[in-house]
Amino acid sequence: MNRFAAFFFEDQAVRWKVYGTSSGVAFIYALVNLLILHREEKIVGVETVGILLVLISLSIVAYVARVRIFDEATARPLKISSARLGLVGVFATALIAFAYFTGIPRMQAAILDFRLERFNSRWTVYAAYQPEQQLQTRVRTINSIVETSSRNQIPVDSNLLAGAQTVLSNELKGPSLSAKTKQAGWAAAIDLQSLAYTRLAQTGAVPTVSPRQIANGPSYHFESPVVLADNLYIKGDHSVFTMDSEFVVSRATVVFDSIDFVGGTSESPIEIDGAGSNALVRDSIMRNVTQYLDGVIWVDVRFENSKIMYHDGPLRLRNVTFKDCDLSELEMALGILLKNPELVASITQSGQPVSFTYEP
Amino acid sequence: MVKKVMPPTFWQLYKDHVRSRGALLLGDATILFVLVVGPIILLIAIQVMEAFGAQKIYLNVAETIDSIWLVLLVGLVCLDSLGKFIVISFFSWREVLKNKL
Repeated sequence: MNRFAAFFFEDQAVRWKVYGTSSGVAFIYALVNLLILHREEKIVGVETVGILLVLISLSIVAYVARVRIFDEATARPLKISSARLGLVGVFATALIAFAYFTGIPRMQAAILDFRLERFNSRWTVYAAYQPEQQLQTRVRTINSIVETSSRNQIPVDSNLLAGAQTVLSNELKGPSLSAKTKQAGWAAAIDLQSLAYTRLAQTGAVPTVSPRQIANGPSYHFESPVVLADNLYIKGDHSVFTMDSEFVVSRATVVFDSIDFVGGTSESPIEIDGAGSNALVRDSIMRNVTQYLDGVIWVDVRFENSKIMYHDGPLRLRNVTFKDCDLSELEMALGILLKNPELVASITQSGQPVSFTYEP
Repeated sequence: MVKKVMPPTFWQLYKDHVRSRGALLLGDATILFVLVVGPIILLIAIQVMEAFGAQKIYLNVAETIDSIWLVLLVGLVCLDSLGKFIVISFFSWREVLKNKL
């Protein structure tokens, strides 16, 4: 038979050796270019396939021309029994089927739940004896869990998230920790709470409503107070609420996700009514509003041309930006509470996203 | 006197040619399939590592290896199939099988 045809249909051993060697060389080339030289992935990919093509083509030419290394009188089949090959194929199929039906996110969720459970139980037992460095490590663990879950939308158990948030918040109230560690811990606690609310909405434990449902129609202009007395997750798409009145959160937890507010009066668009009431505003722009910051968790929020008020209550800011805002009230209140002008200036005058928590 | 040679039965033809060729192609396909499973296992491993909080640098290296592996395998499958296609087109199955007769 023709040597070219023999390469593909007779000499299995040589063919797979050529494939293996060529792939190995191309693999090393790609690895060096991507990890050491940091070249663009797309270009390196094309070059790698090109190298593979050239190497295999040259090998075939050498095989056909009976170059010494390929000068074998008889073709050799591959020394793998069909039964063994079939067994490996079945195993591979089973593995893919398992991964498909189990679902990688579910597998990841199980691991993250395990890590959260471990975190919660260990923290309770050892927290009192832990030095600050270990506390920082644990906060990093929480950050990694939250980041992984959020990025890959892994269905982590919302109860475990809420549990971890409670445990972390309680421990951070200890007086022996440095301000830096405390702030990092509070930021992690806010992220945990934010993710826990998202998961509650995703699992249906808290109903998700659209801006249209809240406004009872297509107009998002609110002229009279809206009392929110049930747990709600209001999910918008940067829907703009024009506020001539306010949302009163009363003995409930309400999340405003991707809702923008434009104010028209001196009333705060979001009012917290008493203990047991919680609100979280996430991914929002607040324009021309007069807003008290107390009691609301602000995550990825930008205030523009607004008057920022503060009553000495819990202050929870995570990536909050103030642009052209009147911060005099906040500045004065924090100046009295914190007694640290530099810290107050870093919150009110930086112009950069601020993450800061104050728990009275 | 010339001895009369009996033509092969259908089963003999099937056993010597069709089945052996089919087994060869099936064998190649299985090898390639098993190799393709490698990047899939690596991908699952990366996800598991990520859930366990592995450092980003290790995840990046693993992802790079995974993508190169996949690119090489796709290239290999294409080249192998192209080679076989050329052989079949130029020499035809009959000629390829002639050696076995």
